[in-house]
Amino acid sequence: MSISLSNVTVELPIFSANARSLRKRLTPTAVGGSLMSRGDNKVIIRALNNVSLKIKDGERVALIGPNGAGKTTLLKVLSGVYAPTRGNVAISGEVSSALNTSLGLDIELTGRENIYLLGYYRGISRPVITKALEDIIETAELGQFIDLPVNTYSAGMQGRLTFAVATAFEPDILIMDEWLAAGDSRFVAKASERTARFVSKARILILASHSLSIVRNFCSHAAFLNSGSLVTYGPVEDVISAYENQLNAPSPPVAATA
Amino acid sequence: MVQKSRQMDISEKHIAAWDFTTGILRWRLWAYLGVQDIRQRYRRSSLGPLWLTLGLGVTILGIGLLYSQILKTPPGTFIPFIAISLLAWNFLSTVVTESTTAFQAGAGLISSVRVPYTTFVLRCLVRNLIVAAHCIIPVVIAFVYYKYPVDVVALAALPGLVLMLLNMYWLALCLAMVCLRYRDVAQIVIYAMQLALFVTPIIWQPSQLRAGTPFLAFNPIYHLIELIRAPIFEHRVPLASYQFSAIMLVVGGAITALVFNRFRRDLAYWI
Repeated sequence: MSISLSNVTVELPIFSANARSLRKRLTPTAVGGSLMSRGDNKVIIRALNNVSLKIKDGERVALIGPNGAGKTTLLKVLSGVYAPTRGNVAISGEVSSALNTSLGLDIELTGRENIYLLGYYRGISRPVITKALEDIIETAELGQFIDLPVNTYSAGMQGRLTFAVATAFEPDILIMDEWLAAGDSRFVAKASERTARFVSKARILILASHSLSIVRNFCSHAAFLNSGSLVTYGPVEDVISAYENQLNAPSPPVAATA
Repeated sequence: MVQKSRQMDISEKHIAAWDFTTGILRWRLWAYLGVQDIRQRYRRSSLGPLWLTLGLGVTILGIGLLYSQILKTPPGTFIPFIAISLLAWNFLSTVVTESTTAFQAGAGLISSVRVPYTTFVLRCLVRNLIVAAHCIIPVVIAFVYYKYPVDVVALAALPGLVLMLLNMYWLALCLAMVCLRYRDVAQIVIYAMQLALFVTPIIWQPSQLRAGTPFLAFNPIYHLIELIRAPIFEHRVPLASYQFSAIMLVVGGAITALVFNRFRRDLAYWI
């Protein structure tokens, strides 16, 4: 199992209402001129800028960085949601991603039905899911709630369910966004133990989080992203201190005026 | 524990082919989603989709009795005709209209898991097939009540249905893509379908038009409906419609495959 990114750039087109409309596309030509306005009003956000990264067997990697640093975009590239605009992504191994608790779940369905749904998304067959069912329900600690619709669940309960399913089918690579922090400390401890067992089989974990305690708890390595670029990658403590240095660095003179 | 290790290269050139095949192979997913859509409609509703059955029954009766007088056709042939026509039309037009938002409906998944996008088109087809199955009831009642004869040729409706579904598959995928990028195409489609209801022999019979008129010969919706209607209602295998639908499948399918192949990777950015 390994992941290798080389010079990955992701540009997200932001369609203004104008560019989305076919009429706006057609009128300039129909009216017969104004090639000047051909810009389509397209705004592009460069969410990832030339990121190169190699992740090897058994590494538990945290993505850290301020809001808007590109953590979620990178997770989406790694899960195969986004194809990079430029650059290459090579992943060997089966990926299971849990980027967002609410997005994968269908809140009208019961917890039990959602376990099947989440399993089917991952291409897992019914008997295999049925076999894992008990383990998932136990890990998620949902008890009787498992037969109630998910819209009755708290955010933490949804997170536990998603986490339990994401780790249940022994994927090679597990990708999680920062929602894990929504769990209470008891669950975080449990998740940490389950993840440790998971990674002990030389699997890869990738986790985005703002909580440095979760990062220290779960991860062996960290990648520090800032405005779409990879600042450093390495052992977790080194990267955290680089991150903290940058956070505490006196930012532009505004603060100094006092 | 069996160690599964599949090579997965995200920048792969064959993402569209992967999507088509995996989309179909993961049949449990779209079947489950389609069935759940129907279950959802049953929830908190005493009749659920059976309301559609009832609605179709009332429409058949209303239009049937009125138009058999306007068009001076005996209700005994006209009502079975309108019943089978509306069954096919409702399926076709609902798939077309719903396909315009098929990807938006799966937005949550498309932006959080690597999932074949064709799943959402198949889900739309499954859901509407289940609805159509509900709607067979009033059609059967119409045929039985008027003792309208049906013979073995009616079985030709089955391959006809397959050909129709294949055409609906590419059409729905194509519309889902275009409407994701250009949101107002969905409005155009809705109006086009309204127009289609009037220019296609659904409420009026094709025999009321001069044979070979371009209104029929080049009307794709007419041909798709004929695939099912002609064997059951006219006891005839509609060869011309088979030809037209087969050509449409090849040409439309090829164009859709090319467009999908080119833009599959961009769809996630358009959500």
